[in-house]
Amino acid sequence: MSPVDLVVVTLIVVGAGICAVLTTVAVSSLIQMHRVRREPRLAAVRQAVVVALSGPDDPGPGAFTGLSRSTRRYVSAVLLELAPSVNGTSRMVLNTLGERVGMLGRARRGIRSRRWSTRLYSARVLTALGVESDALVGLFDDTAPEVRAQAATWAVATPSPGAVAGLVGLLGDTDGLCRFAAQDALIRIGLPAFRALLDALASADDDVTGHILEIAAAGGDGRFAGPATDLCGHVAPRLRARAASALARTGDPAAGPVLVGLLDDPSHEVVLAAASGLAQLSYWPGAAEVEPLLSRPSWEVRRQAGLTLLALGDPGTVLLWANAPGDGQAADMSIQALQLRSLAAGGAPV
Amino acid sequence: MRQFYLDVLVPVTYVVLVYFVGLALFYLALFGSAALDMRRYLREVRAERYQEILSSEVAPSISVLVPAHNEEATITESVRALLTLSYPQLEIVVVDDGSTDGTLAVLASTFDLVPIQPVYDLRIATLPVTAIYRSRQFPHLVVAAKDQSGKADTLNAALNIAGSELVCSLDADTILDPDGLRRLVRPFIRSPRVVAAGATIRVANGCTVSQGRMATERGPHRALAGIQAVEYLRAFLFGRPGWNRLGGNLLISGAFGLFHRQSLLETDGYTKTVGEDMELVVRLRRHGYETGQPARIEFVPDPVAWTETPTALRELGRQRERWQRGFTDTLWRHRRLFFNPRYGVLGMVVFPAFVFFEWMAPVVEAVGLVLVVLGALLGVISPLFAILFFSLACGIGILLSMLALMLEELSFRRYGRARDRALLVVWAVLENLGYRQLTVVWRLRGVMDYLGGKTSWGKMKRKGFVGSDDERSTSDTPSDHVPGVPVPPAGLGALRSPPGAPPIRLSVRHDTRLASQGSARGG
Repeated sequence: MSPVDLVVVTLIVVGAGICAVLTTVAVSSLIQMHRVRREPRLAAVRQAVVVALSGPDDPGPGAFTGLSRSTRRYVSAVLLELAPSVNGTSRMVLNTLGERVGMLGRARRGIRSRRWSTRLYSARVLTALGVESDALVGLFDDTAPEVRAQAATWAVATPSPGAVAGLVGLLGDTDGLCRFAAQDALIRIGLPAFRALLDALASADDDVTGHILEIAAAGGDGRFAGPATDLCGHVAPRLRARAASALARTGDPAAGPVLVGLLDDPSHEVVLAAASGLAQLSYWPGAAEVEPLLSRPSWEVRRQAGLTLLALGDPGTVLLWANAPGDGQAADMSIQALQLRSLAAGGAPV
Repeated sequence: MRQFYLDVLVPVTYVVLVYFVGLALFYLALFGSAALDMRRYLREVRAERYQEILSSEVAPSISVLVPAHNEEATITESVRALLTLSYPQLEIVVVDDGSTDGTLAVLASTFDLVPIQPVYDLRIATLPVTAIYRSRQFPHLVVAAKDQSGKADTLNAALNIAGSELVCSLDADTILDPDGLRRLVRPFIRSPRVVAAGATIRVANGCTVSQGRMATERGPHRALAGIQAVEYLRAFLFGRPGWNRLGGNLLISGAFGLFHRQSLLETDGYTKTVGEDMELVVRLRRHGYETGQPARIEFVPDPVAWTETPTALRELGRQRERWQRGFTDTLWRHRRLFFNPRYGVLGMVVFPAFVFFEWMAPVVEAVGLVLVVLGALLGVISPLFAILFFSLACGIGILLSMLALMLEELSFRRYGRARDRALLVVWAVLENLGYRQLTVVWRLRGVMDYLGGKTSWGKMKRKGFVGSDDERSTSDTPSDHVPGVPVPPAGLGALRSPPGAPPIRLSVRHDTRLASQGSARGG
């Protein structure tokens, strides 16, 4: 084959490729245009659903006249669009609509599909509509991390003991998305999850313990005070810091002195958490111990010290004023903290 | 001469041919990788509403860094738009880079700023921050002032002041999707090894903007902007997702990127160079390998930042020259990575691929064109062969662009109207007839400029706009460019209408680094 022939053949192949791609683009565009033409029907579907939502609990088959004429795809889109905005009776109506158009049935079957993307989408549909299903627990062991994470989100609406146990198990997941979703879900579930978390703390490894302490710091349940106090003496600075945050959030009367004790910790992460915790507790007896932190080499610690003194009320403010006239880092931070105080109060800057 | 061609240039011609075959195969591999990545991503985000992150107590906090220089007319709208971004723990850090107009005064009066003691964590050496202000109305808005020292230094100052886990760098005239940050934060949640994530940049020329938000998403109707829109699609739907699977990206556009703040601090932040965005990413990845924890750079295709592109050839040429200079500079600074097994896939695959297929492409393309023309003139190559060869080069270019358009059509379809998408096909064809050759010239000039030691950003011309007509532009504001100092970008508000005003149609340009490489061919 001569070079010219070679180029011609290649050119033909490239040309055919261009034609194939163009055809794909054109067909896809035509499908899209067809959909756009049907847009008024979509509006009608939306209207029918909204009418059904504003009607009686069970609007009856008559209310679905518009829906039955529409494609399943459109109905699903409308229901998914509206689902996050409604709850209570309206959610029930929406679920009834979902059942009648077969959307929920498909989703229930879909979560058992062999394709992870189908399982994921189905779980999202069931999550959006807050549907309970025994299959949820099984999804915590799914091979796809996206599905496991979605199962965690789903569990918020149906926090059965099995689901909570699954969520706690996800805290040790290798995928960050699953851990995040599980933490978030456990925080949202709140009280019903805390017993399981406390039980898990007893046998959890360091990583999971850290995640549980983060949840405790967000939840603020008093039952975490004991374990958190114990963990304030843990060998790992990261865990001591998280334990300090969790302890502060519990509001336990014994928390203040423990946190004051942590202000001398060699890890500045722990000192930061302890100082921040004292601010949360407004533990003014600790003000004198916080004041020296204004001169620490770490900027973050100095800043947190300023903010903490600010949060400790008059005793802290007095100490800030006492440090302000100086010439060093403590003075700078004291002035900034006092300025933030006046800013928060809506007054003129100091 | 004919003998010389036969003895010396014919072998060179064969080398060029082999190179082009390799290049085409490389891009096809990139496309395959991008298509797989896109397919997985679309399945992953189907029906995902990102609502949980909005109210999550464990979502990472984000500081948006906004360098501003002489943005009096636009800064208010820029900051207002940022304040409306939907993200739970958001901090906006505006640093005034020695403006000589009323930028600071406008900010102070609009957002009720009060000065506080200018103490902050000086982790990266910068020109001193002379003042820090907090807003009475918006507790999460921080404004700082310093003498002029360029964009990189200003960003570093903002980085020092920021207090969040993640920082978002934005070109000041970028318009973000409202939920862009929520989408972009996902890779960081997923893996602690992710140190940066980039998003898609799209051409805003032709779109309408209202209240700092994209009101209608239309494709450009002018050839130059349209061709650039195709280039951007190729770069962001084809190149970047492709690299996600082939070893990770080497560039996050300075127009919109999210970074792990601690990683930036550990690597000394931004460097004063014309290609600071690419240099930063290469440095982050390199640092990861050197500290024993390979750092991942992720690309997320659907958070979109809209930006305007140059509408005049001259400005476009300057932009592309500058990109190529920055690109060359980055490759030279990090030449140690080249085929260095210590840097794993970065040193053995990604970096060499960028050198061979991105940096060298304009050089080889220019050599190929000259050789074919010369060969035809000397009678060594038949005119038919020359024409066929040129057609083939164009055909491959068109095919790659069409593949990008196909990905767009089958995925996000952000340019809503069929007419706009049809126009993109036209621009994809026209791109190869003149424009592509021009970019080769610009990129070669960029390399020559770099070798000649040119370090400035060049003069940048900015326009304002008033009307709703794509054809109309209003003011031509001369640049305050100081030779040798990067010119900070124009303000976000340059693209935005004031509150209550009718939507405005974009017609101007701005400088946004679109790709790792000048012509963004697939990369």
